[in-house]
Amino acid sequence: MKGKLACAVLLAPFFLLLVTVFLVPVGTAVWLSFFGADQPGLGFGPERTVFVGLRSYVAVLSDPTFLGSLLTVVLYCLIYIPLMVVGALTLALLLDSGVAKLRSWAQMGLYLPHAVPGIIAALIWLYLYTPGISPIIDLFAKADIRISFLGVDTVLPSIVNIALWSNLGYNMVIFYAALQAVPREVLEASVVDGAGPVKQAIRIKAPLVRAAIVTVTMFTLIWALQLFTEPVLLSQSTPMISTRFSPSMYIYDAAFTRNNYGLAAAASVILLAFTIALSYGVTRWTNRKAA
Amino acid sequence: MTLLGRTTVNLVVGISVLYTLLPVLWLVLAATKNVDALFESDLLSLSNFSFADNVKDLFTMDKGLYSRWYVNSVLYAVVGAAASAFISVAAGYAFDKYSFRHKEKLFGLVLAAVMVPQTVLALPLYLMASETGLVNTFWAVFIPVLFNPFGVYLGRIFSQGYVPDEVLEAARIDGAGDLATYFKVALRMLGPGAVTVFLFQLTAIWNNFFLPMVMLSDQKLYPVSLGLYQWNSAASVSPEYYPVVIMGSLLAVLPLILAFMLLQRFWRAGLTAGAVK
Amino acid sequence: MRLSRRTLLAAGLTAPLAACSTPQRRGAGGPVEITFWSALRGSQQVVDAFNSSQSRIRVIFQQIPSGLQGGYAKLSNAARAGNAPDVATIEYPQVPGFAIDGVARDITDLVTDRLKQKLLPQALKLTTFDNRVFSVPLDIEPMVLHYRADLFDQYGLRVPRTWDEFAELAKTVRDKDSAKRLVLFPTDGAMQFACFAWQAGAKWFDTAGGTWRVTMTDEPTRKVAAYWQRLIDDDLVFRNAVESRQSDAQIGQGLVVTRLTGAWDAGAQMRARPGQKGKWRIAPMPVWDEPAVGTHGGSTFAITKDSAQPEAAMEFIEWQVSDPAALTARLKSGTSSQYPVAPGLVETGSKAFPREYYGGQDVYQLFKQEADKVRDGWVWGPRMSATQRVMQDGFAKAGAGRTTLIEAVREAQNGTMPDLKALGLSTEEGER
Repeated sequence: MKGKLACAVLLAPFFLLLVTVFLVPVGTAVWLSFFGADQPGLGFGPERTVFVGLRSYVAVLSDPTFLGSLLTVVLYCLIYIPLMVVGALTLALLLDSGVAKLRSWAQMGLYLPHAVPGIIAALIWLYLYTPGISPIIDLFAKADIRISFLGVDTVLPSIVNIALWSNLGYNMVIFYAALQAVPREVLEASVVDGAGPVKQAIRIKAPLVRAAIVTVTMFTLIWALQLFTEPVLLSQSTPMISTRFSPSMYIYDAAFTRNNYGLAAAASVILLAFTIALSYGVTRWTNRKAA
Repeated sequence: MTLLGRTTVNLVVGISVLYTLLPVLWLVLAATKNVDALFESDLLSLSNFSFADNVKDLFTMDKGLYSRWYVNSVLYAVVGAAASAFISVAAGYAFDKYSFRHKEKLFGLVLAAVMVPQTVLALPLYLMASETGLVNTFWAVFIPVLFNPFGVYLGRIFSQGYVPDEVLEAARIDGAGDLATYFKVALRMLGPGAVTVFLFQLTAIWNNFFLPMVMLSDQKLYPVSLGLYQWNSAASVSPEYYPVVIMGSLLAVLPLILAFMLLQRFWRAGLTAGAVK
Repeated sequence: MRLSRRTLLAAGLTAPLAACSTPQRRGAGGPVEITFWSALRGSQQVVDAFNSSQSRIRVIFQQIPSGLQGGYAKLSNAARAGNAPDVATIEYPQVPGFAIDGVARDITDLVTDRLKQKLLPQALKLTTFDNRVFSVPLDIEPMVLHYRADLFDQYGLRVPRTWDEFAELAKTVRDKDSAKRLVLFPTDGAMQFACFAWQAGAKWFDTAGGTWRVTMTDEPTRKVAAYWQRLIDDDLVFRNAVESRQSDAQIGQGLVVTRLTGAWDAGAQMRARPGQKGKWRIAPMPVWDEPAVGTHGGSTFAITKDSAQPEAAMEFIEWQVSDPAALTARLKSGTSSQYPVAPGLVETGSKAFPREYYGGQDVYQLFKQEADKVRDGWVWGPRMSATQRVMQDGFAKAGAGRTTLIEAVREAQNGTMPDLKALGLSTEEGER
């Protein structure tokens, strides 16, 4: 198709944005991680911009609080992603089985939390975790169970729960749509083979929506690695969430409360590399499994 | 299928729906309570019903900041999502219908951009905004949210699906210019797709928390998310903020729930496009 | 939009244009205007008093949130954008940080000998780095022991003079009433802990030899950590945040019998709990072997890099820290009991501070006696807010029995070093 001008006009606004709010910032982050405004010695003299090599990276990687934040987010992913994928897929399969009643109402209900903004989802759950306000804690108390949702061991599962609540229905709908697209002949063939409904669901249907599973896993992973809003909000109510709880919180803290741009930039680049590496890993792993 | 199987299926689905709905129901009930009733946590009792008082408190607290936040959120989200959808769909269409050098490589870049965590861009964006004097202004939050690479991806898929090449060819034979064809013919066909992209971005911007937190120090420019966050930090010291935050949350959720109820089929289209392809 | 990376960095880190962009605020023949930010209570009254005392300089005051509640972030952001106020209030621990960031300007040449002679030398030392003065201290706050005289009488307790006596007393209090405790170990109290360590002779940071030497787990700190750890392990102290409703309740309901805080807190306590009038007294801190104390709190005034009127700013600062009218104005606000860094003002404070709340006690005479015991040689570090936060994360876990205090301090040091290294500072760890 000809029409170079039209093509350029249609693409220009997007590419302008791509350059200004994406490429230049990424480049700047990389640049900031290699250059610093240094003052020698105690640091009270005049500063000059110098190439600092890997200094910021060495500093970040030797910072136990940064490594701790990475560990936290990995742990979070390990709990959250399997629960999310298995949970959403199970619900989709149940709905698809044709046995569940009121299917469209169930879908609406399950989907509803996704319309609740992340910060408000976190607020709702924060209050459901707050002693005195929470009917859940009261309920447990009546059964003589004292439970703290914001304690040292429970705070991570509590965050997982918020994310799960927000996104379970959303991913379920994706799976459900993919299942609905599976040609009926394939399923009928398997029934003839004598597979029961459970076996049919796990052995026949689930593999058929592999593409959807990979997509959901990828997006869930990318979002999970950015973990910020929920812990930041909960940290207002519990000392068990530090200001460097997740890598994103570490970056925010380094950049805007510690005024340490080199450190923040290096941590950003590491988080970026980490995200790319893990996403690549997931793709490779799922592809190999397919083969 | 056995009766036991049926019961189990319906039980699991039922419990899951309760899990997703009860917290929202709690929000609605809690919004009718004053501070004392909130801490007595007898949610179903209708004494201490102070829904109207809470609404009044919400809009008068701190000189009516909440209504400013609300207007800001609507501006950021509705105008931002509309502009963003328009830009993304145009780009997606161009990626589909035109061929140019390094097209697939560029598209790969677009897809890669989806993956980049927002926190990575925060510091550089802040410094750029600082340099250009945009920091702590409306634009500092508004411009970055226009960028929506996932929207371009969806736009390309919709363009493939909804805009047949023959139609464009026919328009060209009629002597219409490429741009005129896009705006008069293709865009109409892409309408439902654009609404989907709009909805995705609307939620994303309404959810936006990190960027405003980085960019804005003037409370009057805050979106609802950041404002409620700030009020919540005050609540642990001054409990009178609790009912206000709860009511504020409820009112912030309503428009999105409404949008989704009314525009259900559009987001379904987006989800399917994203997943099945 | 043209953005070179160099200017980008410059905008963030040095803001060279800032000085030019600050408008000259001298009207034709009118007074010089300077801006002043502070979170200190009573600042408005002090500014009003200054503005009416003369007509050459007019101070425009803005109340800002306290440092870690957003005040410091606000100052940093303003400095980055090139519009920091002429005069900013910075607490001692944050002075080196703001000096290194170039927010607080080197004011060595503006501090006259006349001013120096009015101030306690140990206070000025805390704001002097590399032989350069970066801010002027307002108050120095030795930590003191607040105690409930009524409860002490009721239980027949004696005011502890040493830490051994203090630990004994903690046991007695719990035995008398199992709901009560002698004191709170604040899990958000890295600064209180620093003060304990300071008193014991610790030296977390040292700048000798042009290098930041960091030794946060030195022998005195280990001693202090072990002491409090035992009190925690034996359940002899409360352990929760002091900035919390829980702590409010502990004080309000008389569950906590003593409080260890800086001198300034006498005024805050008076304002927050008028109902406890007459019940509290103040005594010197318990000591180890030698009569020494550390400080807890205290503020300084810095002139920022963006100030176009440093001389006028310094005149205002000098008046604030050394003129009796300034202290009187602040104490009149009824919320402050700052101990001035200018010994000449102690009499003024003694007269202006109402005595009824503390049962007629002349607390300023006690503060004076304690301020003279502030141990020499303490140096705050270059990223104290961050160090403090990491330590408090550890304390919160230690309060829940998940780690120990000394481990929390060690983590704080480990979490601080990468920061200093990434800033390009010359650093060393461990004792010399």
